[in-house]
Amino acid sequence: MKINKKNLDYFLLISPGLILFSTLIIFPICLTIFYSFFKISFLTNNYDFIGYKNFYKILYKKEFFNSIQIVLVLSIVAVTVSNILGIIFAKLFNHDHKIFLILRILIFTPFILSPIVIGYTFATILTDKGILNQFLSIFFINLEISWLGNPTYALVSVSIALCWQLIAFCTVIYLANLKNIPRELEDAVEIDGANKIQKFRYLDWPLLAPALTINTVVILISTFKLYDRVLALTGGGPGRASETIAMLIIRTAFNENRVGFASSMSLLLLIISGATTFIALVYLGKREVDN
Amino acid sequence: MNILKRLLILLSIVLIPSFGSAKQIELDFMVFETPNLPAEFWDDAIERTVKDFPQFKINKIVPPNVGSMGDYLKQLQATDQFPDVMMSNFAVAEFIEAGLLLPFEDSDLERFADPVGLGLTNGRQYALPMITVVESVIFYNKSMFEAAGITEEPKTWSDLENAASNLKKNNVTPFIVGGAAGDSWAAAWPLMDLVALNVTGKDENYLKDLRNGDRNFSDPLMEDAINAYSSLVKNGWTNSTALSLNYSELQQTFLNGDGAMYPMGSFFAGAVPLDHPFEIGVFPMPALDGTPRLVTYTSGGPAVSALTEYPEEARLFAVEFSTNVKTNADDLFRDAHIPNNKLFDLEKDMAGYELHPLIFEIIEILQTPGLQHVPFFTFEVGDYALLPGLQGEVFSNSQEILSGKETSEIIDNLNSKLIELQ
Amino acid sequence: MFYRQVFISIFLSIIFLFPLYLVFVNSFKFENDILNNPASFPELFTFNNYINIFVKSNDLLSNSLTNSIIFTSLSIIFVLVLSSMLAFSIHFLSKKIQNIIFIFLLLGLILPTPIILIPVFTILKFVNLNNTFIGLILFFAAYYLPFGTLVFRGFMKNIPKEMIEASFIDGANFIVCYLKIILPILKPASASVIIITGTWVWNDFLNPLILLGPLEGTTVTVGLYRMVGQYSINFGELYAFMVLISLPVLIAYLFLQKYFIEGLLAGSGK
Repeated sequence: MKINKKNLDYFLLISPGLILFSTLIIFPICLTIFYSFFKISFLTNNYDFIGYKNFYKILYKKEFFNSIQIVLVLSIVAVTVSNILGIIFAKLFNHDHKIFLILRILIFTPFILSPIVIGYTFATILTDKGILNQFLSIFFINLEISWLGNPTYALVSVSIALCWQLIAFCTVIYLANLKNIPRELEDAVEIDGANKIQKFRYLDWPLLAPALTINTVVILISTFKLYDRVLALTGGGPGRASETIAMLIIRTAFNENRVGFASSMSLLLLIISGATTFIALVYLGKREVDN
Repeated sequence: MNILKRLLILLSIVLIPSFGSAKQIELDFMVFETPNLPAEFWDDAIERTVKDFPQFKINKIVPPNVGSMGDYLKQLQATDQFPDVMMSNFAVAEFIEAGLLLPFEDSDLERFADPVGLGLTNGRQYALPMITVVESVIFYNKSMFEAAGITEEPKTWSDLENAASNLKKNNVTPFIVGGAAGDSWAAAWPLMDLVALNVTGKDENYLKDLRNGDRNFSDPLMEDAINAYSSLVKNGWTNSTALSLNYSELQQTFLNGDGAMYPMGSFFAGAVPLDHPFEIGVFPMPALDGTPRLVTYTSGGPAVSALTEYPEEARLFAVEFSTNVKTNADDLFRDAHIPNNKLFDLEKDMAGYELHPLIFEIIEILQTPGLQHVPFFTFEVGDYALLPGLQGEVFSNSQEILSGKETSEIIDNLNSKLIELQ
Repeated sequence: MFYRQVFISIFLSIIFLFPLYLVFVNSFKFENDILNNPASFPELFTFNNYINIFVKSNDLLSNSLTNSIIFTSLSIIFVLVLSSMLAFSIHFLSKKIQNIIFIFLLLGLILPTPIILIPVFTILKFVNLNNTFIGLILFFAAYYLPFGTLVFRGFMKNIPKEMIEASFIDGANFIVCYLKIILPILKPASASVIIITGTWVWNDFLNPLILLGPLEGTTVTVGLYRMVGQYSINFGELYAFMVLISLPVLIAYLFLQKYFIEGLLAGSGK
C-alpha cells in the first residue's frame, strides 16, 4: 500500500511518537548547542549572547578536566573489570543443571536495582567502621582505610559500586551469547586436544564478539551518565575527587545557576561520549565481522 | 450516565473545599532539619503561629541537606517552586541581588533587639534577625585537658597549638573536624572562622576588593588563614575519619570522647545532654594576631520571597513566627540559638526548661566587652558578599585541605574559580 | 569436575550477592545489632523498622510508592503505544528515510540525560508542564521510545508482508491493521518492553529530582534521597525503605525474567 497525503490514518500512527521524540529529545539537543553560546541565569531570567566565551572558559576550568579524567578512568576500569568477570561468571554458569538456572536468575538482580539504592548500600558497607573494614579486621588486616574519605579510595569505591551492577549485566549478555555457540564446535575443539586457554582464545573469545560489543557500549553509556550512585556514595567528594561530569553539569546549571556554561559543558560531553561510543562500536563491530 | 454522575460528585468533592477555603492563605515555608532541630521542632513552631493566626495554611518544605539549602532554593526557583517564606541560614546575598527577596518594612523590625543583623543590604533588611549564633567557638573535653596538664583555656593561637601538642603527646586526638559528601559545610566551618577572624575581620576592604576583581585569594592574610587550618591536619592533630563523617556523626564523635576539641558554632551546646558523661567547656577561637575578635551571626530568621502571591501576609507570618516567645525558647533549648526578641526574657520564658550551663557560657562570651564582632565568612551580604558560586568552592576546598592538599593548591583552585565566575 | 564447578559458582555468587543479603537481613534487626554484628542473622527479629517507616517519615514511603506506581504505569503505557505505532508505521517508508529515523533513535538511545535536562526543563516550563507528573511521563515516553521501537521492530520483521497486504486488500486502513493484526503479534514483545522500561523508569533518580521538584510529591528514589537527608534516620529504617522500594521490581523481574533478557538483547539491535 502506498502512502499519500490522503492517508490521514497513517499520519495519526506515525506522528505522535516522532513529534514527542523530536520535541523532548532532538530539539533539546539543538537547544543545548544554542544555549552554550549564551550566559543564562534562571534566577534573573537573563539571556546574554557571549559567543564562544563559555568554551574559552572551559579551557581554564580545572574541575571540568578533573571530571573528564574521573569518567575516563572509571570507564576503563568498568569496561575491563565487568567484561572479564562477566565472562568468568558466564563460563561458570553455562550449564543446564537446575542450580545454574537459579544462579543465573539471582546473578542478574543487582542490575534490576536502582543505582541510588546501590549507592546507599555500598555507602553503609564502606564507611570507616563499616562492614568491609570490620570484615578485614577479622583476618587481622587492620588497614583502617577510609574508603569514602580518601580521594583515591573514594574513586575505588565508586568503581566497585559501578562494576557490581555492570558485572550482572555483562554476565547475562555473555550467557545469552554462549548459548548460541554450537556444542559440536566445542566438542570438536576438545577432540583436537586444545587446552582450556587455547580453547577460550580461539573458540569462545572470537564468538563472544557480539556480546563484547553490546557490553562495552552499555558500560560506556552508563559511565558517561553516572550520577546517582556517586551522589549516594561520596557526593562527589572528598573535595571534587569523585565528581563525575554529569554531577558537574547539574551542579553548574542548577546550583551555581550558570545555565549557558553548563550547556557548553554538556555539548562537549555529548561530543566526547558520542565519539567514544562510536569508536567502540566501529572498532568492536569490525572485530565481529573479521571473525 | 451513571459514570458521569459519579464523576460530577467526585469533582464537587474535590473542588468545593478549595472554593470554601478561599480565605485561607497557603504559604510554602522552607525550614531545615538538623539533629538538634528535627521535624518536631518545626511542626510545633509552625503550629504555634498558625494557632494564633488561623488564616494561614503552611506547607513545610525541607531541603535534602542544611548545607545545600541555598543550592536547593536555586533549583526550586529554576523550577518555579520558590517558597513564599524561607529560613535564611544560607548565603542570602545572591538572592537579594537577583531581586528574589522582599525587603521588610521598619515596622516589621520593631520587635527585634538588634534590628540590623546580617541581611541589611542598601539599607533594607531582607532576612529577619531572629537569632544570634556565635560561630567561632571551640568546645573542649575538660577531663582530657586536665589529663594533658592544660589548666587554662587557650587565649592565643600559640596557646591553642601548645594545648594541641600536649594533648597529642597524651595520645589524644586534639581536634575533631570533618564533614563528608553533602556535609562539606561542616568541614569548612573552621576555615570560615579562621578567614573571618584573620582576613575579613582584619582587612575590611578585602571582600569588597575581591568582589570588584581588584584582589584575589593570593593574599598573605588568606594564606595564613588557610595554613592555620591545614597545619592542624599536617601536624596530625585531626581525626583520621574527618572525611567520612556526616554532620551528625561528626557531632557524635566529639560527644563520644574521641577527641579533645571541637570547633563548631554555638548551636552545638544544644546537643549536649545535661547528664553527659564528661564535662564540656567552651572558649572563643583565638585570632592569629591576638586581637580579640568574635565571629557572630545575627540573622537566620525567615526571609520572604519577592514572587509570593501574598507579600503582606507572608511578612506577617515571618515576623510572628520569628518572634513567638515559645518558639524562641524551644530554639534556645534545642539549638542554643540566642533569641533576638525584645519580648523574650531569659529567666521568665525559660522557666520550664533546664538549660545546659554551656548555653550561659556562650551568652557570656557573646556579651564580653571589647570584642570586635565579625560577620561569618561566605555569609556576608551586599558589597561584602562573595560572588555567587564561591561558597560551594570554599566548602569543597575545605575537604581538600582535610585530605592533605597544599595551601598553594587550594589558593589556585579558589583563584581559578574566581576568574571563571567574574 | 561438575561438583567443583557447582562449588565455585555458588561460592562466587554468595560473595557477589552479599550486599543484597546485608540490606535484607539488617532491615529486620535492632540498631545495636546492626552496628555490632552486621553480617549475622538477627539476634532478635523485629518488624519495627518497617512499621516505623510507615508510621513516621511524613508519609514519605506511602506517598512515594503511590506516586511511583502511578507514573511508572503511565510511562509504560505511553512507551508501549507510541513505540509500537512507530515501529509499525516506519515500515512503509522508504529505506532511506527509515535509516535516517533510526540514526536519530539510536542517538536518543545512547544519549546521557544530563546533557538535555536543562533544555527539557525549559521546554516543559514553556508549556507549563514543569513540576508535573504529566511532564515527567512525557519525557520518559520520549526518552524510552527508541528502545521500545527497536524491540518492536525486531518482532515486526517476523510478520509476513503478505499478511499486512492481505488486510489492506480487505479494505482495512492503517489504524485497523495496526489494531487487529499488529498489536496481537507484538504481545510477547510488549512483555519485554513493559518490564524493562518499567524498571528503568521506577529506578530513575535524576530526572524526577530535577523535573518534578519537591512540591508535586516524590518518587521512590527521590524519597530515599530525602529520607537519608533527614538526620534522624537510622540504618535499620534505611534498609527497610530500600527493601520495600526494590521489592516491586524484583518481583516483576522474577516473574518476567525471561522477557527481560530477551528484550535487552532485542533492544541492543541484535
